[in-house]
Amino acid sequence: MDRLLVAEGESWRAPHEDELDSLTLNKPPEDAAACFCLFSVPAHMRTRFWAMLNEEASAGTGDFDEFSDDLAQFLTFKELPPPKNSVCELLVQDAHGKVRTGDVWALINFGEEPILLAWPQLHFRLVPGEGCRMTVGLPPDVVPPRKDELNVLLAIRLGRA
Amino acid sequence: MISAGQVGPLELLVIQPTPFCNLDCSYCYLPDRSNKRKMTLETLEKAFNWVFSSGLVRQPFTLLWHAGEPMVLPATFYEQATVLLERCNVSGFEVTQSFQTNATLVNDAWCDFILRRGVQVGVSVDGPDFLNDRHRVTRKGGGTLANVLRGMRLLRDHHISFDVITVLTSASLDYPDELFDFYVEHNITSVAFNVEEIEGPHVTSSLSGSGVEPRFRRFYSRFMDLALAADPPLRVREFDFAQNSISYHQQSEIRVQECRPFAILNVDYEGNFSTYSPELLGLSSPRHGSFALGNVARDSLESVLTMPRFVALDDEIRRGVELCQESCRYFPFCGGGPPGNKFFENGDFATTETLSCRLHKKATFDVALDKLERLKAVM
Repeated sequence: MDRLLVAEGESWRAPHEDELDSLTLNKPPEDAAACFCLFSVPAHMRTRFWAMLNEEASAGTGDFDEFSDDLAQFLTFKELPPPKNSVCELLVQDAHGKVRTGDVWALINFGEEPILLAWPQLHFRLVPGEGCRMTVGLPPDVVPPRKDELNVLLAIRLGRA
Repeated sequence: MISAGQVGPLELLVIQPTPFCNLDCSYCYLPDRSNKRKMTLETLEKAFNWVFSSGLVRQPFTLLWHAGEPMVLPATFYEQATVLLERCNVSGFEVTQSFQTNATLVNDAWCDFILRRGVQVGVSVDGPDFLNDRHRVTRKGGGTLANVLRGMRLLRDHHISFDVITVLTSASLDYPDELFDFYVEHNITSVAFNVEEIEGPHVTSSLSGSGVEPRFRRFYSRFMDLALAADPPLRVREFDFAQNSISYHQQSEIRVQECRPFAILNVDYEGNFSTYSPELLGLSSPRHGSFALGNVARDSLESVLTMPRFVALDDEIRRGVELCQESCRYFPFCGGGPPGNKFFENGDFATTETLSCRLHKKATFDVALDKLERLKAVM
């Protein structure tokens, strides 16, 4: 699986089978929140996301809050309800941008290119339309895109108590 | 004794041109789907003559080619069938021909026939590949979606509109958004949901386990939110039915085709016929004997109506409807559960609730009522 890469010296490679076994689970974990969890955002939500941005850009009427509520409903259906008081934030990252991930509960790639998430010794490509719920206490770096490209992300951040 | 005037009028004529199906869906209720025999034109002509001389035809009706994959036979068979139909229909009743097909065999000749004869088409497809290809498989066990999509594309290229029937299994209930995306992506504007039922040789259903009902309601509620919010809204047969039942139940009594003798007539490839639920054709039970009541070549409607076997069957089905009426608060909106489901699940027609009732009727009705109340509240 070339979306998941492990470090080998200076370079990166696909994990060996035993490494993959130790990194993934074949059955639901006892503590689900301790796992990095992938999900796909349906096409109708991706279409609505861009329609909402276009509406905002052209007429100032894009309703981000309504979209965020719908996204939360979708995640709740998928048994990944966003934590109480969490907030959605639209992030556009350029080649020099840095994304603060310490309080991110989930990240969704709404762009058209994969986004590289980086942990020490481990990289993961988040493909377009894919989201991930973070592992508690192990926030990744979001690797900036190449020059002239943009990462378009929606972050769901833990709210302040 | 039941007289001819007390049965019908015919609303749906189901003709099985062949029991054979080129697919081998895991939940199929057809007991004889490997049988490649086909109905002869001679038998078909007898069937049409029987129908039009029976006194059952008193209004327009639908002729549905089904109970096997109808497109296994060439379009020329149906050309000849249509000529026979027109010849036998001497009073000129309006007859709408309809195909329920898996669409894998659609070609230009089919499209030409469908357009020329104004045939209605229903395509059976269960959504994206990870759902459809789990159950709707070839005889070698391979997935079928790619061929179904090719057939649907050809229909659309010829500007033929079609409805879709999706069978919901336990696996489907986790994917309302993905199903909705599938319909939108493939320009499907009208969908009907069937549930995986216990019928005939299919003796278990993935939906009969514990905890399914709340999952089903959750699925259907989510799906209807998406369908109603779409522009234009995606039409869902179950929602439309519930909406009409709610709107008109005080003006008219719900009359269920499957519960009324000879509102549906099912004719198999040999000319054997049955009534009530189409799934009963070709099956029998130790207590009832064969559910085929006669053959179009030799048995008149009058002779069937006096048969003790039919009288007992009709009585049992009527008692089942009465029990529904006495015990179920959904009866005014439903009119009685399908006899076939009662028999296959409960072993007796004079019974009430089935899996189909719980999911396909009660749950969809409750969700529709909830959505309609919400819509009313915001208007």
